[in-house]
Amino acid sequence: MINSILIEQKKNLFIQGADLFTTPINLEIQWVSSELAIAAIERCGGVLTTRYFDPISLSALIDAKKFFERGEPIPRCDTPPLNAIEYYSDPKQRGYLANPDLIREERQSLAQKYGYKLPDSSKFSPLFHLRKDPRQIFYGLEPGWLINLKDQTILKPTDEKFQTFYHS
Amino acid sequence: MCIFREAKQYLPISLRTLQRLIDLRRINPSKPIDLPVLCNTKLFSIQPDQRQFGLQLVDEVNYFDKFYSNRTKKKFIYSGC
Repeated sequence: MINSILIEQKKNLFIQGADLFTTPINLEIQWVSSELAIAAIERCGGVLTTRYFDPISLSALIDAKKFFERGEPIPRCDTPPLNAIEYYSDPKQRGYLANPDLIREERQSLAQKYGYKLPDSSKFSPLFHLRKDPRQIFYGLEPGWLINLKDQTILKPTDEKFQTFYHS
Repeated sequence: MCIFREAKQYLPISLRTLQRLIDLRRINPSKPIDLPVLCNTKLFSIQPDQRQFGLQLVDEVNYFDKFYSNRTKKKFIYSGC
């Protein structure tokens, strides 16, 4: 009985095109509509995070070059609104505010549900374990920094007031 | 109805599109993929003023037909996606 269910679910993975996906990636996306998509990413060893961006940081991310040319400091990302906070702290949805230990457990149980083995994550490059701070919107750049594209320099705030504002 | 409202807020990106972008080397899978990386392919035009909050990952292929305009579809086809 259990076996037949497992076979059924494997078939499901196959039919819906989820088995087309074969590359391990470290993906950060804003919303995931189905468990199957998560399973497809994690089956080949990928990492998935759902992440919320407020409209101001979203407009900075959509056209990063245009944003840097405007000469504004990188905004700090706001926390999700009340109706979305539950979604983004849910380990089942791989939310960015969820407990990493619970996410690890969920990865295991999803792998069991769909009948695949999680590849060993230690053999992947360290870039696969890279995650953003909840306040951070660009990899490697912190909120409050000012990017000068023309001179190719980065200006960082030194005042303590600013530092506490951008990191709180 | 609920799905429609959700899709209005988050532009769908299917697993197939993602794999295609990787195969065509438009995105580099060895580096973390986030919103600016996907937006720099110029295939997704997210409008924050239209209450769109980013991209959502979907598993169905037919999402493509439902929610993208003909013009966007052409853009996808010509770019090989």
